[in-house]
Amino acid sequence: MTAIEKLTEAELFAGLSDEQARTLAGLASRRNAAAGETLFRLGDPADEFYVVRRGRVELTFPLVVMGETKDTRFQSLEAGRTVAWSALVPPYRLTLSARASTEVELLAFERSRVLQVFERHPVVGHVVMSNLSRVVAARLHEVVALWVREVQRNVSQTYR
Amino acid sequence: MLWITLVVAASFFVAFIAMGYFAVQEREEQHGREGAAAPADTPFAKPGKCPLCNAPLRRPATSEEIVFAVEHRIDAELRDIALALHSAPESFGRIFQA
Repeated sequence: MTAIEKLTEAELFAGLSDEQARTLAGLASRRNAAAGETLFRLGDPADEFYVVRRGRVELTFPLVVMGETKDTRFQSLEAGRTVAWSALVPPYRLTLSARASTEVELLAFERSRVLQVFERHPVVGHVVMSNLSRVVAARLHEVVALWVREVQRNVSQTYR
Repeated sequence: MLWITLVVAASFFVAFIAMGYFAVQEREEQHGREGAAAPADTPFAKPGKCPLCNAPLRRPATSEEIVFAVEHRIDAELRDIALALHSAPESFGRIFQA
């Protein structure tokens, strides 16, 4: 399987032609991380986003437990998933932390260079941003559902 | 006179039987409603069990165990939400039911 085929299998680049994918593949730089390594921290500026090529990345949030702040897993992302998509959404700040839970290989894309490609090739920009809206909407649905379930539990326990 | 007495007595008898029948039917309907409402209360009816996957849980003692329990719960919830999101539109509302 070629690098281009791999790229179009990623959720963010699905629907791109080989030629369009090649334009973006030229921007990618490869990053490797060992299991347990922190990839970024909540609140860091988001200047680049990643596509998981191999391994598993965990998104975490800080939870205060018995006076200690613990990084707690919210979600695990495997090959093809997008990490740090905040790099494409103002105010370009990371809203969760990330660590490698296995040895991982990522493709990193710098926002400024990706936006230049979108300017030159608006169709590519349209496809990628449509895919991004799907990724963001999925996260929104998950978080809203989690929140409603928690509210429902509190109401059920309080007003039984 | 005897005929009238017999007709009135028979009417009372039939009315009594009908009242008994309707009372039993209403009671059965009420039982049915209570039975249907039971799943919503199930998480609270099983202390010490995960409300979603029914795995036995014990009270976590260390911060690591608490984090593990929270992560387990989020994993189970997200799995359940993902299933509901991909289910038929009529059961879409299940995404909000813990």
